[in-house]
Amino acid sequence: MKFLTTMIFVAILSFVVSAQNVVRYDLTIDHTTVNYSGKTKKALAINGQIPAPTLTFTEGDIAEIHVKNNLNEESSLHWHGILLPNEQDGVPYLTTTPIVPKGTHVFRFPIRQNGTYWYHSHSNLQEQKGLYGAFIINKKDEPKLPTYTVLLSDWTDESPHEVHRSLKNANDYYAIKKDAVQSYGEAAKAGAIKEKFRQEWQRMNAMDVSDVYYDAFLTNGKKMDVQAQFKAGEKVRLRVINGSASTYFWLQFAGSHLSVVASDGIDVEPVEVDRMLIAVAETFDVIVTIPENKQFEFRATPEDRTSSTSLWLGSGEKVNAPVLPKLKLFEGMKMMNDMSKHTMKMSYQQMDMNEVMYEETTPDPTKIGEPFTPPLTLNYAMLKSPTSTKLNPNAPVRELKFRLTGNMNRYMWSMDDKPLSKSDKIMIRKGEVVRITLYNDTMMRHPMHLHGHFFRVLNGQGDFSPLKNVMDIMPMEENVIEFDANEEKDWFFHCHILYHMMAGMGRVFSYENSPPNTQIAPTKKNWNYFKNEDARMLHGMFNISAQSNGIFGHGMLMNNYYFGSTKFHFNPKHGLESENKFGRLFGKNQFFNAFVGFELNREEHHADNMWENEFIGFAGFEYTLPMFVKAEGRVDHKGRFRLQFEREDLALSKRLRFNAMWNTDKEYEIGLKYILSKRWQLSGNYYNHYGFGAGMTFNY
Amino acid sequence: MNSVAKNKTMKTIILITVTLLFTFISNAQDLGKIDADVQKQIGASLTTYYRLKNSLVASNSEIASQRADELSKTFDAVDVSKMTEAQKTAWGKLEKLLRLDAKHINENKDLEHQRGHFMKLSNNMYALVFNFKANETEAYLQYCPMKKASWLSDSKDIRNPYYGDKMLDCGSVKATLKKNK
Repeated sequence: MKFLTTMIFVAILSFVVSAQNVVRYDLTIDHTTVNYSGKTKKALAINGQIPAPTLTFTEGDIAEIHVKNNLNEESSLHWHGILLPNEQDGVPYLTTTPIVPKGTHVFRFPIRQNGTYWYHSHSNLQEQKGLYGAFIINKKDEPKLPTYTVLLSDWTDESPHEVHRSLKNANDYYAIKKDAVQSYGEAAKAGAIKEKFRQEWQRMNAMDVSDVYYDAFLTNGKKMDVQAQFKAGEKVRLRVINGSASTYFWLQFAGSHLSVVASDGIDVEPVEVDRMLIAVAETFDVIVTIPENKQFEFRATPEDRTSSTSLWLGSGEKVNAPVLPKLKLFEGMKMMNDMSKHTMKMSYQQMDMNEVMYEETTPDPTKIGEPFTPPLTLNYAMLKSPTSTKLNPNAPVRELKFRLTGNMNRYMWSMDDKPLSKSDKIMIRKGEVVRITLYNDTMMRHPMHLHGHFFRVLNGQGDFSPLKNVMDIMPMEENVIEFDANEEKDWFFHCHILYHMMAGMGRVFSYENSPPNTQIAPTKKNWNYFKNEDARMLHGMFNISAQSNGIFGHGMLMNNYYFGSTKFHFNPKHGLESENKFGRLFGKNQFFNAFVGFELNREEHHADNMWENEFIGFAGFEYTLPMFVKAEGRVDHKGRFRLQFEREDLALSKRLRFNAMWNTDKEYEIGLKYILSKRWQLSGNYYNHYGFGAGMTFNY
Repeated sequence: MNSVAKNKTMKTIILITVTLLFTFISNAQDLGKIDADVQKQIGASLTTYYRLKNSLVASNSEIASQRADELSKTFDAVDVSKMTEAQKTAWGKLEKLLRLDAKHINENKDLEHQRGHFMKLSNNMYALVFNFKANETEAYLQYCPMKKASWLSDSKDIRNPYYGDKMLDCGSVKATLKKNK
């Protein structure tokens, strides 16, 4: 008996000792250059790699990660989906000290879960430039199955700040690159001219399923990855991570069904599908079978279907996964125009309205007599936990409701029409169940991510509701999640599309009566600094046209609510006229703005051939009418009233834009621009004071 | 000035439309020339199919059953002797499948059962009309993302045959079959 007790004691002791296994990684964040598009571009890397090194642990380890920042700006690393003490979460100014230039930061936390996770920078837009890597935690008794990690990402040759600025300025050059402009000409071709008018009448912009044009999509940092070692009959578990900044991917495998066995690191009951969409920041473990000794494609196609990236498994003759045909964007336009008519409740991806744009869901009539079933696609209602995830039924429930909101025109993203900068921390209490109802009131999908917790997705599976830390929510969907509030301090909850998060689509949950964070004191100053990131951002644009009839210029600097702008034109005969405004935007869609300003004009006095300067002060307002016609009324300091109507950038074809202006001072202008590149346009106009002219426009 | 602007816009739109219509590419995949009588006979099947579809839109299983029987009878009238070998093979495959689903819709008056077979019937009907160029007016292949099923219609407007009143306008046009001339 004594012997047995001793044995058990020794066994427990050795277990505890092995559980205290410290696994150390040393990471250095630095600049690098890459070439994905034929051009060498600046990027960011960790230990010289994109993606960053895969960090591998076993449940029960202690992670010790030393991070050195060799950049000239602050950086950070967030361990996505990992349950850890608040200070280790890696959100600068909220939970964790930012890593200063040339500084080092040590993270240390016990690993108390298993599965497929990842890590990335949480500082401004660094993630887009390469700061992401896989974070894999093996079970103590991991099943012996060949396993391969597939980290997907998106790459743009532009700086992410330029991407963000372009989105904010509603520059449609990305749509041109993606062939998704949806101009009147293209609408006429598709027999959808009426829909195009309806859309513009409702003041809705042409919509695509994604916002950014990417130069490349990557599998483990490569356009194409090959793992030839797999043989016929072998099953392979793919740990798929979507480490993109803003790209959802369709996943398809040429050799077999996809058997989904885990989502966001947590096991689910295996479910077989033909294809699935992985949202930004989600992870899925998927088992595929190599049916014969050939090379089979595991393809990831971005939701906008502009190109794809692949992993090839096995060796021999290549077998392709089905190519996804281009989106029928005008069918999507019709659907969106009609959306207001539909009142049905949609949830958990069960009804994908985007399917109206998919060609592959209808039979190919040339395949005579072949049975056809549309591809079986994964949705959240199909995910089921293998064990009960029921929360304490006696815990008090805190019900929260959020509407996800946005303004595509100004690229503003928010919750309940307020960006993070206009919000307060949402107080919760340890021990309660926090139940969140989310309604997506925008036309885009949003992958909502909660730090430091797993939530149950109340998808109809009852006690076996799956646990996730990212939930994609489609337009018009209402989804409910709930989590056990078992932590302390402050945790970020946000849309994981990088540019949506930076625009302020997020909130912070804060535990009442928490001990203070030891790295970021919970002061008003720190909170304001953290939350005001979206408000601090200023976006500028200008364009200048040098034409045979004169020079025309327009520049603007704006943040979420205020703008300063200048418009001028010059011609040697008529002199210079400039109109300078400062104003504030109002309303959910910001269709209204009020402004003050002045005109500074220098023109020739006809009577005595003298040049004279004129100053006019004015105040007024502007409202956007249907068809995006801007109606502006203003009164100047001499009491004169002016009413003006203007329409800019009406897309006649993919690259041809039309504009027109008229006002009660009997000025009018019509013009055309042909977009050559993001920066250069051919332009021509008729301005009644200057006559006809043509030339070039530079656009920033 | 607004009217000048509008005129200019309209002109450009018309110009672009005309250009694009001329560049429209017709489908190359072909069963060769179809006999005019055969086209007419299959055209009659399509008309009956539309009636069947309308009865399902109206959730009327009695009428649907009758229409399915009528549809089978239109197949009897198709003159196989006027087909090429390739056409006969295609017709043979499709007729067999179409008759089977029509029979099911005729014999079992449970709406859900009928709609299940209508789904398969519609896919084959689409192949039939497409390959035999049998539609005298434009035909639209429409799709319901909720049911994940297609159907043919002679109108662009959506009248969903799979749910009745509940989801009458749920769906979208996926393909247009130009009328045969």
